[in-house]
Amino acid sequence: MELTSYLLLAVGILGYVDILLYHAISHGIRSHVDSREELIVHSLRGPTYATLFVIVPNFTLHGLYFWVLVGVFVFDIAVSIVDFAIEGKSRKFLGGLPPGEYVLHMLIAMLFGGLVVSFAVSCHGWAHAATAIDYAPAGVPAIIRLGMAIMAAFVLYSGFLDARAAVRLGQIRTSTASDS
Amino acid sequence: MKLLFESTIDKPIGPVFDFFEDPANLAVIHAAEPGFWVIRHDGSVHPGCRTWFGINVAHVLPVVFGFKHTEYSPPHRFVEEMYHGPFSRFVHIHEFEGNGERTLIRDILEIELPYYYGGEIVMARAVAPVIKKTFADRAATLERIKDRISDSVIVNTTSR
Repeated sequence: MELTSYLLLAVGILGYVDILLYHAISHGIRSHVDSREELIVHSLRGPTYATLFVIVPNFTLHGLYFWVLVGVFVFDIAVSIVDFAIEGKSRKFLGGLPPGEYVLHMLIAMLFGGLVVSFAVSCHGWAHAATAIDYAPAGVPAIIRLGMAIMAAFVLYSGFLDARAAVRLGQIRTSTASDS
Repeated sequence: MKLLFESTIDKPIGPVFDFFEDPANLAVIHAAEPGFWVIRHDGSVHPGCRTWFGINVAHVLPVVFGFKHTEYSPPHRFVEEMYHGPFSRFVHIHEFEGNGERTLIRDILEIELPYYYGGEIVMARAVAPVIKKTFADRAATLERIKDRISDSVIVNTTSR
């Protein structure tokens, strides 16, 4: 899981750059009514990536648990596809998706593809083992595993903020619609 | 942080105020900045109207702002407040003082950057210098186009 952990770390760092620069500073989507659906989709990434940041560098998952982790990967791919599909409409008023964000998404998608392949190649044997979770730190420095644990907390909090903003924007949209 | 900018233009207060109260002219006074664009406006700075614009920070990071106009006292003052953007507070007070054929233009900015973007430190070291340059460019542009102000006011007035 060494390569998988490093790839996940890279995805996480670029994801934070995306959230900070483009979602927050550039477009402020947490206060943009048109971005409500995008925020709902983003909020789903909170628990998904928190799980990956904790599990991938620290544990081996066997049997049924392996398939649960595969399910998390599939779920994230589905979330990304929906995100790509709706973010054009979400950002239209704000001038569309910035070119830098397009590039960032492309890089993250490529790295995530590498992450999934790396996981499939190195961990496919876990599928046939007896169902169990073992604490087995990947061959990465402890500081990186600690950093990824902190990233898990941050991404969970970011997902919570997205969900809270989506609820608030939904109330604004409802009150605006009823006013008109 | 409070920032104050003053410049004087050789034009009477009426046409100068008329020029500034048309949000479409934002694009005119920021023409020297290639990274500035007006997204949408309600055609006026009367209270309740909104103006959206964007700036391209360091040529790579577009930042979108939405301002709501809150105060309108022609021909001396109007105010807008940010309601969408990265600052926790951004109030722009426009003041005009006429003196015969000349007008003093005063821009007062009250700006706060949230702590999670670096707060006052980033504000003082990174943001304020950019804003100061923007207003210096804005004053230079205004000086350059001052002879067109009356014309543009006539055009805008007839189009309203």
